[in-house]
Amino acid sequence: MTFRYKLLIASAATVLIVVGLVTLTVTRTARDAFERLDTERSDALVAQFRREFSKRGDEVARRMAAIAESETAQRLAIELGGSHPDTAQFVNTAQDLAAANSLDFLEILSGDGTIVSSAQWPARFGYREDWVGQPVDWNSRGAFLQREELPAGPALGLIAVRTTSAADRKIYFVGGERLDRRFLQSLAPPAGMRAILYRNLEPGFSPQLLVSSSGSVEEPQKLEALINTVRREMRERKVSVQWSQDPSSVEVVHAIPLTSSSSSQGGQQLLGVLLVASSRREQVELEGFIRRLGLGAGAAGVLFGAVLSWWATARITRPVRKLAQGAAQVAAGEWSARVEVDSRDEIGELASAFNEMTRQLVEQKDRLLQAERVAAWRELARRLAHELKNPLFPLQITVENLQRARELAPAQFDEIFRESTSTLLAELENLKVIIGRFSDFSKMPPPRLEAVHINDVVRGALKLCEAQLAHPGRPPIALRTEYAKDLPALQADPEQLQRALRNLVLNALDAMPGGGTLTVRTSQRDGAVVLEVADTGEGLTPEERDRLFTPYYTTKQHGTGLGLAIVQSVVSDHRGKIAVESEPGRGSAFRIRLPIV
Amino acid sequence: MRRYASILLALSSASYGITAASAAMRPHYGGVLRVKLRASVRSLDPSEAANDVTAGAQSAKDHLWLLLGDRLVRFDSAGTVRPMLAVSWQHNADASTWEFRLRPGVQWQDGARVDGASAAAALRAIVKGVKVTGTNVSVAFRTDHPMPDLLSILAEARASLISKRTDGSIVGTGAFRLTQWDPGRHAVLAANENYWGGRPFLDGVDVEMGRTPREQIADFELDRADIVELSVADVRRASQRERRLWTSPPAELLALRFLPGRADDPALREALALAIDRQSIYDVLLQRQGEVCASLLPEWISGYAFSFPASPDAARARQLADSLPAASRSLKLDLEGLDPLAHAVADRIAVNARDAGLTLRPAERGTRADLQLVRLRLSSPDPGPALADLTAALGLADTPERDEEARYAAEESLLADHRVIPLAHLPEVYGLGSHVRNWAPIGWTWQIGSVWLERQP
Repeated sequence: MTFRYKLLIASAATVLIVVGLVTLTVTRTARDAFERLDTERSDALVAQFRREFSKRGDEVARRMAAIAESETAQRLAIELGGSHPDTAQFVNTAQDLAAANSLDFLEILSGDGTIVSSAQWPARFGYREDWVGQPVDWNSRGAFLQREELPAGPALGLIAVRTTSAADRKIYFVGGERLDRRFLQSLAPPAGMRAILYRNLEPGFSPQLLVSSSGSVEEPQKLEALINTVRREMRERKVSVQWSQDPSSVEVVHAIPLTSSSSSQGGQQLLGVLLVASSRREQVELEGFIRRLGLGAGAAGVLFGAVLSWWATARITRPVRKLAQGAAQVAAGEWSARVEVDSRDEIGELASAFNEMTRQLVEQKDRLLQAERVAAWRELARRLAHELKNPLFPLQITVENLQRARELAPAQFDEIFRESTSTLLAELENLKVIIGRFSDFSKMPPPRLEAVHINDVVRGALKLCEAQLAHPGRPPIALRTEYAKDLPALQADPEQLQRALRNLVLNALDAMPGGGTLTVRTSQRDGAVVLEVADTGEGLTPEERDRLFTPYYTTKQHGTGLGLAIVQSVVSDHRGKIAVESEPGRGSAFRIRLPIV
Repeated sequence: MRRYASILLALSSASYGITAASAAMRPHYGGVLRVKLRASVRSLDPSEAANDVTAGAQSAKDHLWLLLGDRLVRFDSAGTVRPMLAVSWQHNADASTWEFRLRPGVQWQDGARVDGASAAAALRAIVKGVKVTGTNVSVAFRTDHPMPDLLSILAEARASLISKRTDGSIVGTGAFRLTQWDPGRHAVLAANENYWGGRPFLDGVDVEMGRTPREQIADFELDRADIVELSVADVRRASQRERRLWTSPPAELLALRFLPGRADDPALREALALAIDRQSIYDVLLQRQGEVCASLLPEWISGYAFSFPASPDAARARQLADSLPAASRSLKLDLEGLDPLAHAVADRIAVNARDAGLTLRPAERGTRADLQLVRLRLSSPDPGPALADLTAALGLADTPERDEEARYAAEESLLADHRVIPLAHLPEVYGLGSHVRNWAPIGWTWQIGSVWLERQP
């Protein structure tokens, strides 16, 4: 990954994190604000319910008082106060009075608590409600919650009791409103809130006893744990309930126990649980909106940041890239590479330093090259002097012998002349050979590439060296060849390769004057064909190994120092590499790597 | 027969003294009597209509039949069978063959003479299982078994001589003839000028059917009707408003009937029977009209109804209910087609059952009920035919007995397994318009022929 991309990613990540943090902060702040608002609204509704409940209780008590003070009530009291009252004529009176006063419940009870007439359960006439006989001043007592028995099952009512007397005979009017859906709807909860009433009329939790101001309660079992807790602890609780997979279905449910504070049934009983549910839909939707807004802003920020970062990093990394290109040029051998950077910052300083470095490298290279050239010429001169000096000396002696022999007898002169000319010719031949080698080295032609199988080249070279291997008088040298199978063909000059290989083989033979093993091996490795020539000779010292490929350097008594130079030249012309491994006394191994193109 | 006849006489005399009051005034002809009935009668052909003892429906049919046709014999106010279209009768020793000599000169309302053949044709569908033949002047009934109740049967309204002619018209032999017929809704009858007993005082009778109790009360209060049916629950209110009422002797049986194949556990049925507080129902819901009963026949007909215990036994009822599996303590009651009074009674029974540990709920439409609340009209003041018709209607074994003791034993046996739980015997109550005069039914049988309307001032 380039520096530019890294810089780009870092910039984009920074923008993203910043936008994310801002979104998170805004969302959390909004949520906290909504929760505070929700709590306030919930508390307000609960307070409203309490006020409404109290108001309803007052209203029920007022209506019951009106009934008890009515002419009908007085007539009832008089009629029922007789010695043998005919209660049958009043069996429907409660229904009429309840309808006239908009009451859900109304029962007229005689002085002993016997039901004379019942609006909610007309068929219960004749039954007794003993609890009204307890010593309570019902006319001053407000409304209270009470369980009411109905034909379809028990119900919960907000009940008030009033009495009417005539001639020391008292009758009771017990009536009120039913706590049901209509009652809850009359509470007029604000938008987003609803009231749910659980009528605690059975020993265990029953979903049928739940009634909501907004209709039926779906999945009532989700309220079971809350209601059971309130039933057990008789105190207010608040929980969040998620009704479906939709997160916006969450409601905060405030559970308020409704007890019979002025119970007719003795003791404080839990008669119901009012559940004030506040929808979190708006909050969730706002959070979602903020989240989406944050994501959108984040995406836009990331995009903008990416563009900005792209532009900025382009400006920042351009000189760096130029520096990298310059370094690559230097690495490729173009030491004169220069980097043009206009900035005056650290990158500019780095570019200036780079340019200075390349300038000095070029200068040093030139100096080194000049020094090497001088050294090479010196070496050449030394070798040439050395090579030429050897045949020149016999030539000089022979010529001097001829001069001296001129004074001898013709016969002796002739003999000496014949011998001397023979020697002169031999030495001249030597000079010719020496000059020929130098000439050959100087005339190394460019390779003529063609498809070549390296194994064939090796076999050809070894065939040419058979005479040297089998030279009589030489200690035996064992030849071991290892040819890799299925080697690909190379684009190479077979003659040059064969010549290089022959040089290596002959060098190996020279390195084993006492005999040994010559190993020639071919293989394929890392996209290249490897040719290895190893001997078991005396090996090379580190100094010899370092100068091994220097032209005209030789460790042999009569070597020209051109053999390995030619090998290196051939390998280099084939874009290959040659390496040597050697230790004194353990032989040497030359490895040529030729790339498969 | 003589015993219940005297009671019938007493009950009839006790009906607000209307007869005495009306008799003091001079009758005159004219006017149309407007009658409003709750039931809807769809056919006036006695041969087509089954003997429907359902209260209301049968009552309405009887009233219309009695307007249209006369019977061979009738009960008088003393409960004695008197000649009507038959001037005399005789039977053989075992009462398996009867011969009735027809009143001469009687005509069908279409002018045809009432002879033995036409009378036999009209009665053949009524008296089933009996060979009915007619001569020029008589009608004969023959069978292979004694027919001691034949006179009572022939005195019933359904034995009125009414005939459906080939053109579909209904003609009878009574004081009024049918002039307009809208089945189930409306019947208009005109005075039969050729009536053998003399033209009735009224010019006609207009009968409107299918009127709800509320509509009838409104018609009654607004004087848009001369005769309306009232529920016993309305008696007190109407009396307090000083409206004229006529209450028949107990003429209906209000009872619970377990349906065949349902509630097979006798303990369940007995628990329910013992749980019911009939007296409270009578005192409050029935406004003390009629009588509490635990028997099929009312006291005034049978004379032994008082011996059937009608008091509740809540402890025993609960004990029996507790012995039942919890799942079988629930019963569904069929209230289909019943009036508000019956619904109120059913609600009260449900309360009583609840005290005993039983659950009694109305059967929802489409579900199979365990029992039903029925109101059955007594077909005859004669205990034999009345019991026979009731047992048939209730699906009980048909064991009518002429002997009072045997009948008592039979009825006791019929009720022993509590498949039928009698609750009360109810009277028929009618509101009478202020200008209706000479309203003097015999038993629950109207005598419209003698009624006249006082002219409006």
